[in-house]
Amino acid sequence: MQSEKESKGFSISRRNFLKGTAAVGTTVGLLGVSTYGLKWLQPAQAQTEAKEEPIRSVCSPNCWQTCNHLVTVRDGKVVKSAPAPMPERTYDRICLRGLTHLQRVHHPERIKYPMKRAGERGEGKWEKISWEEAFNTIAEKFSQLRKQYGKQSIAIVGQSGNYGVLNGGYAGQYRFSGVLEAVHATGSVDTSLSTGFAAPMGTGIFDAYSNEPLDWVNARTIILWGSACAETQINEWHFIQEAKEKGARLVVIDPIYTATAQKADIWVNLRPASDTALALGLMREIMAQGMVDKDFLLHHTCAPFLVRSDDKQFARAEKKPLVWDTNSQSAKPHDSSGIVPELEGTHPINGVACTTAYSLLWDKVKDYTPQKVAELTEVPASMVVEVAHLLAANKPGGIKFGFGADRYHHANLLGQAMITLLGLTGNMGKSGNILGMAFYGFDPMIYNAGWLFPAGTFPAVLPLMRLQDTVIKQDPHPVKALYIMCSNLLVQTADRNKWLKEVWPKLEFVVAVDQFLNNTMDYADIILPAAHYYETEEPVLAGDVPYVLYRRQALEPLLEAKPDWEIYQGITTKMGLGQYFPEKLQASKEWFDMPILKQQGITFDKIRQEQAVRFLPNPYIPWKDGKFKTESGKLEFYLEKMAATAEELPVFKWPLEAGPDSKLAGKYPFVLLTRHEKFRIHSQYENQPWLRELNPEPVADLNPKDARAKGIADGEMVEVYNDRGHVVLKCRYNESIRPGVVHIQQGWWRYVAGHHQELTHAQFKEGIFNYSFFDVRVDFRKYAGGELH
Amino acid sequence: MTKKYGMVIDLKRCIGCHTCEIACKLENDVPMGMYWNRILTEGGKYMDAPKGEYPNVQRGYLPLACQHCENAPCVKVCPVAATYKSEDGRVLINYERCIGCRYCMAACPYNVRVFNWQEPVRIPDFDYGSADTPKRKRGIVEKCSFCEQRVNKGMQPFCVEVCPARARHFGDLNDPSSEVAQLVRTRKGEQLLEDRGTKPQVYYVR
Repeated sequence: MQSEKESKGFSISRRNFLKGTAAVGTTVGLLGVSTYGLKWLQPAQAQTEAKEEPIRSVCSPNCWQTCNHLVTVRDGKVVKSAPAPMPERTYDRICLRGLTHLQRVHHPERIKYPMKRAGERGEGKWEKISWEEAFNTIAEKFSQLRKQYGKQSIAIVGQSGNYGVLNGGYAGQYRFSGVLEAVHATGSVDTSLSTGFAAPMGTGIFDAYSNEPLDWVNARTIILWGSACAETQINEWHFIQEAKEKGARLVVIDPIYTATAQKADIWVNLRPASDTALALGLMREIMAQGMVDKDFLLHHTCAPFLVRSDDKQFARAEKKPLVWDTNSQSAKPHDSSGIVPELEGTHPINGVACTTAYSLLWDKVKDYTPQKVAELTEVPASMVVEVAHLLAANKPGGIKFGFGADRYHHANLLGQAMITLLGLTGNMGKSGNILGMAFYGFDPMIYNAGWLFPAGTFPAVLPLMRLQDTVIKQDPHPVKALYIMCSNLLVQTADRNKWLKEVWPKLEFVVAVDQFLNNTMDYADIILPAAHYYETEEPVLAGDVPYVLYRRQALEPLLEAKPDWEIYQGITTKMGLGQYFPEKLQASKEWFDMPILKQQGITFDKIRQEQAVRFLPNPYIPWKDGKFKTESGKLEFYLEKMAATAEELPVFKWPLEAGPDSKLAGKYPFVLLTRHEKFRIHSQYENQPWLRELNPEPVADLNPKDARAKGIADGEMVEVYNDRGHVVLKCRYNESIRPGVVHIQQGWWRYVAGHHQELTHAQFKEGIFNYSFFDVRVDFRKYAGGELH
Repeated sequence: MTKKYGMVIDLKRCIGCHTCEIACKLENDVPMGMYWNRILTEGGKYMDAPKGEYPNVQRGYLPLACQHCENAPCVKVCPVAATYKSEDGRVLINYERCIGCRYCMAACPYNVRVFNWQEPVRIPDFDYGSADTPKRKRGIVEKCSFCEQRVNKGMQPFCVEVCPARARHFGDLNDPSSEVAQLVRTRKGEQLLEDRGTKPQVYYVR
């Protein structure tokens, strides 16, 4: 057995190391083993060992791993990044991207000084200016626009490029826009799944609703749903692996054979956009087989709540939802003592037929038999049954979602289905549960309104999704200027041509702050060089670790770069508002002045000294008491507010484009998936030399069958196109890719021609701010533009 | 008993993320275009491409660096004794002695040694990594030293410290209670190209 396994396992790699070793044999034995153990052959030890004290910083892009780094600086240069010891050492972490920071800090193409545009927008001609001129120009232009069009003619635009409190895209940026009373156009653009997932718990979409990763090792069943976390959130992977080694079963739901899918016990390679059908099928199987956790459903969820047939709202008495008490055979408030609620049934209350939420859920899912789900998802019926049984019977378990399944219209219904599944199976509030995503950064932030808005003035908050139309229509705000920071806006948002052809012509003034001339900067009027993470000192919002974090400054900003906070100081001082941007240590100290931390004795001095301090219980397992943050205190998977659109319970709908029912399916037979992978975090690290050595250029990954059918050879240039735009890149045959799918890694700045974000659309579901990046149809053809390299 | 340093790489855990590969370049001041440690894909033609036909596909990862062979062919062929076996079982290079003949590269069945064909190109343009990482110049051969500058001080090789999947283990194979010795024993550690008789001190478990 062993030798067979060996020869099989290593047969491929053998070819690899044999390359270039033709001369083996003739020289063997020249010196024999005579050198073994000869001490005098060893190189001299370094004569003096320079004492180097690494500085502790935090790497904080939006993989939300917030790895703490030890940064070594030698002769004013960053020479090393290493994982810093965390309070729980299992959270010591770094990744291939974080290890390249010295290349970012000292990159030859880093923006050296402020610049103003010297040619047309997009032409790439720049002229050096001083910071003084930059601040004056911005302050003057902002003041003029405010006078002429009102304060909301300026939009502060940000994304997730930095979790730093002062310099990042969250806290400090709010303070800037609040002081200016500008439009604050930020916010996550992937909130659909989490909107549906969080609502039944009554929490915010990115609140601390999941068990922390160190507890995941106690899971028995783990479903990774549209999550390639072994590539994208690399430092969450080992917890899942450790659970597997303790006997957990891993299910990975993904149309693409990712490195994560490779590790699965069951890889559910479903058709893109069919996820909710699968979820309904899992629910049906669990309910049909009586595998639900009845006790949890009756006491901790809305399952027994009676829903009125007329207005689809809960039947209530004194504002309390009613249940049917089988003891007294009458409707009673759900929290009455001594009752035995009924799970299924219909009863008339005051002449209106009322049915339990559980029975209504069954009505919604009962048609989703394994066979029907197999037709919709192209997943074998037996696999649907197997996954359902694992989640219901092999407990505790959980579902961790990535954003792969989020990037479709109606993904909120999938999120709602996922949390309902966890409720049905009682997989909540126990060690070993995973609830969607571990995220702990915003919990301290919500206590900090005083810090965010020190002037008592507020920004006009505008979901980033609405910015395109706001500028085009000049409604509801007359936006004439953008101040873009922590965002490569034209690479990380959809419908690039709409931005450039419809939005940009309406803008009188665009300021962009970054470290590199990416292709958002191409279209700015003023460019400001931002400081790197290592060049700043500030509190940092944690991601999936249960700590309050703080980074110390490892080196002064290089060249003429400035931390964003100092840029705010410069601009606001010129506008007479500088008093709201105090010195950075003072501002940091004020940030920590919040009850949730003070109660635990977490002071500024402590945090500045220790730099990572736990603020959640160890281990953090929410919902232990079975009480949720909804009005009833129960998991309300029946969403009364959604009854108006018939989405009070999860239902399956194909999205706008990606489904087989799409009108575009004939013209554009392929679904475009632009997924995250291991060489970037969004568009950050795109130009890192070590990462580009491994991943040199954009490619369209195609299933060889699809490419061959069009006569396209491996490595040929192809044009991927639809009515919105095109992109030209090399084709790569790849059997990881499901037939019918075109895959391009997201985050690339530039292509031979076009851009993958020309292909995407910016349509979103009312009230749900989500770019449906994968809900996109395309076709491809051999590129006719001549020879390209 | 003298030490015999070795490494165990858990292929069940490896996710092919290249963190160890980049860490190696950083710690050991490895120039552009060169690797002491590479992640091979056991699969299709390209990095990360699987073998088979969708959805019946398979992929594995194999991190590959110097195997620190007990019976090291590179040591035998080096005409100037620049490559040697240290007392504690590491295959090391005295870069001062290397004359760049590349016999060792020809002798190594694992293709893990790299040659400085040109003046080393670094981005950024200075020496990075630990201060005492041995310096190399044009015209000489270099390779994984189990991070000699760290191990000499009682630390682990940097790739072991950073591995996000906790797939890499380092220690004394001669100490039966060491983690590496136990892993080799209990998980039936495999050696690459065992038939060559090189007796690698890097083991793989799967």
